[in-house]
Amino acid sequence: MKALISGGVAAVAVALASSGCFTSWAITEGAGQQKLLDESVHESAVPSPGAREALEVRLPLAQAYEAPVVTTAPATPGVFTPAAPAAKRPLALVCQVTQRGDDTVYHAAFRYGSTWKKTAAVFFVLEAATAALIYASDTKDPSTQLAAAAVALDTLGTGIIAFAPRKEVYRTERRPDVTVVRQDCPDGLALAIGGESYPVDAAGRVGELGEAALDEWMRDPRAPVGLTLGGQDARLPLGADDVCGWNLQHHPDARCVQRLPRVDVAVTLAVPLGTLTRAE
Amino acid sequence: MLNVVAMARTSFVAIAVGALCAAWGSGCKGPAAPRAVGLEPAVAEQAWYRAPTPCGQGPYAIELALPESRWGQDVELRIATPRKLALHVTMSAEDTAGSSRDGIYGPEGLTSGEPDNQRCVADVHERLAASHSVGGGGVSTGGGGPIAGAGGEVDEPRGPRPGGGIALVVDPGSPSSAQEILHLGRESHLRGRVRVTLWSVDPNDLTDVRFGLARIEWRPNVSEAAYEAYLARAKAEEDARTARELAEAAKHQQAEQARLVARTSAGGGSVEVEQTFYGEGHGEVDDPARLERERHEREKEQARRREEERRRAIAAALEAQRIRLHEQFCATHAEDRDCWGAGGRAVHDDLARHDGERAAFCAANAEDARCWSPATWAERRTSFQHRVDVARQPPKQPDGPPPAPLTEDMPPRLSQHAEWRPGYWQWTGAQWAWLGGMWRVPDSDIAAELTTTAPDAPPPLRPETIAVAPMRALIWVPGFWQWGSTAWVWVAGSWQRPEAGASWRPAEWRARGKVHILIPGQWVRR
Repeated sequence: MKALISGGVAAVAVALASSGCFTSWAITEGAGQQKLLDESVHESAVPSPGAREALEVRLPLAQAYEAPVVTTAPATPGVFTPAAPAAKRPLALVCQVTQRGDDTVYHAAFRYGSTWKKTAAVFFVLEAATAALIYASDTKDPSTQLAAAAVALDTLGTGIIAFAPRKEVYRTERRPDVTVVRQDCPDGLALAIGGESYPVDAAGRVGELGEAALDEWMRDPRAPVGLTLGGQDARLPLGADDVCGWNLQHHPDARCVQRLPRVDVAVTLAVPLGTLTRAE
Repeated sequence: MLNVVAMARTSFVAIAVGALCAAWGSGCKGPAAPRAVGLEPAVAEQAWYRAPTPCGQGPYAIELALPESRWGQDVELRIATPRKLALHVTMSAEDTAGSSRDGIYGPEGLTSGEPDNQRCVADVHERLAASHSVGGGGVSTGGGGPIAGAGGEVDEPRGPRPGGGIALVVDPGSPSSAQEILHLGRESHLRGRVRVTLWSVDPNDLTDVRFGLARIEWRPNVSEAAYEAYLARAKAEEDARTARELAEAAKHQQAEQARLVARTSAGGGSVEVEQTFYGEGHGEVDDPARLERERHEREKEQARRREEERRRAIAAALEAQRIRLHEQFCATHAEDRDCWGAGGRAVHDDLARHDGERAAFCAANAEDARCWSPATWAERRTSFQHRVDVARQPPKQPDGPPPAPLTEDMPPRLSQHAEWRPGYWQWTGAQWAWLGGMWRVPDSDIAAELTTTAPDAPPPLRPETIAVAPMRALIWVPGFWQWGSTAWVWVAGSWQRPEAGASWRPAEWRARGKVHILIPGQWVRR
């Protein structure tokens, strides 16, 4: 039993030591993420020309259902009332308009400044106290002593790095920027099936006729199916697996084998900057 | 007098319900309610009606002339239905506010869900979308009527207008159970004519559905003479009670006035009087000592506020001086990191220059989202969200019933098990559009060659004048000959909405030994 407790204490001590201030600093340095330690940061981000705008549309393959209705009426004892089947939700495409570009970021900061020194001092005291407590818990058990030594070692390291001299950082980096502008479906978007066009409303719905046409297409996927927007069109990359997944979800009597299930299929339409992001 | 009658009615709801139960034949359970003098309802007359066609959306109208009634009368509309129906019901009478109710009615009364009207409503493939904004596919396996929209691009309905309504047919039978839909006149005397209008947005399956209209007359449960005496006694008691209450109120008011006069006199006429109104205008007078205390408190509060303002002004002046001195110091100490941050003034100025580059870029690229201010973001997000909110709003419901149905010529049956789905008015969200009736031919009938057979080949097809398409994206389905047992009948062509990815294969007749068999027109995959 005692060995078990000692083992537990040792494990906690190792965990503490490995997540200690000095160890964390060493990991950050080793991983090249020193900028996480920056303080008093002053940045200026200058957008680079050439941002690209695109509409990404996702067609969900699973059948969505309305949330079940919770009734407040008390149940009649001894009478089983079956829950009403959840209503099917209309098909809704998921739209997202994004702008992608690069920023040139000018970054000035201090490292090992006053905030660093105060934090390191606090950790030094806490870790020293922890090491003393672990050691005092069982002065004869070797594993406890080992754990106390590990924490003490981290404490020593923390004490040293607390006195690291303040550095100044000034660097320039190119940083990619992705801005999600809107998540409604824009005017003019339509689902095109075999030469017929079914407008998509702002909420992504294609209407019951559009949904029925898509469902029929899924049962007999021969004609092309895609999306159109302002003269552009893009074919929906629906594979046999996706068609099978749709049919299994929407028709209990469907018989097919789906190898790689997908939640949805996506298509992207690139447009000139500002085409879809103006307020309408 | 009317009040007394109304009170008496309200007091005897239990009796009324009991009487109604007995009158409508639904049976009553439980102990008999205690009898007391009052009015009781009794069904004076009732009639049951049914729709003239198995499928229909109305508007159906029932009118009932009401005779004079001394003690009051109500009208109740009931329904006996084996399945769910969607109904909009209005009931009105002369000099009485109308009553209306919308809902889904089933065998147990008001319920929820969708109406059971599949046999009367075009399925999604048959639906001929009248709205330009809605895409769709229509399927037809046989002759149908015209397509028309109600507004601009429509044929005028040839049947009676909505104002008249379609008369329901009187049904001599009486259903074993029925549910109340609407009741008119619980608190008033109805007179003149009662008009009931029933309609639905989509056609209901009205097979075996009965609508009942009953006139319920209120009558005393004792002899009329005894009831009149009872009312006279009740009125006398009520008058006496009212007189007592008025006298007590007057007495109380006099006492209050006397008390107010006495207190005002005690103040010598120069006392500030504050009145707090409650009830019907009672007041109270404050004493001078309390007013003096309040004045003193106000002065203390004003002094405290003046002191706070003075302290704030001093603190602001000190802070302004500190900032000025700091700026002076920083201006002369370009390497001081507390002033300029990492890198000193040189880096600070460099970052400021890049901020200027950003501002110049954004001035030239207003559509770049990286440049948008919080105000621009808020404006655009509001605009985009508004579009979603509008799209998610439920479709607009019609303000009133559809026009009366168009007169349709039903072509001869196309196959042994074909079912006729009558034409009806489809609400598109903006207007009514007529969906022509059509025969629904099961695929099994075509496969088993159970479609119409004729002794001879049909005559050559008639040349048709193709009318202008009433809506976008329709195709012309040509007419064809159908054998009507004794002679050939021409089924006129019509505009139909095509099924997605399908083309129309016209109807044709094929020779099968000594007879010819009809292969009805169908949508065929391209």
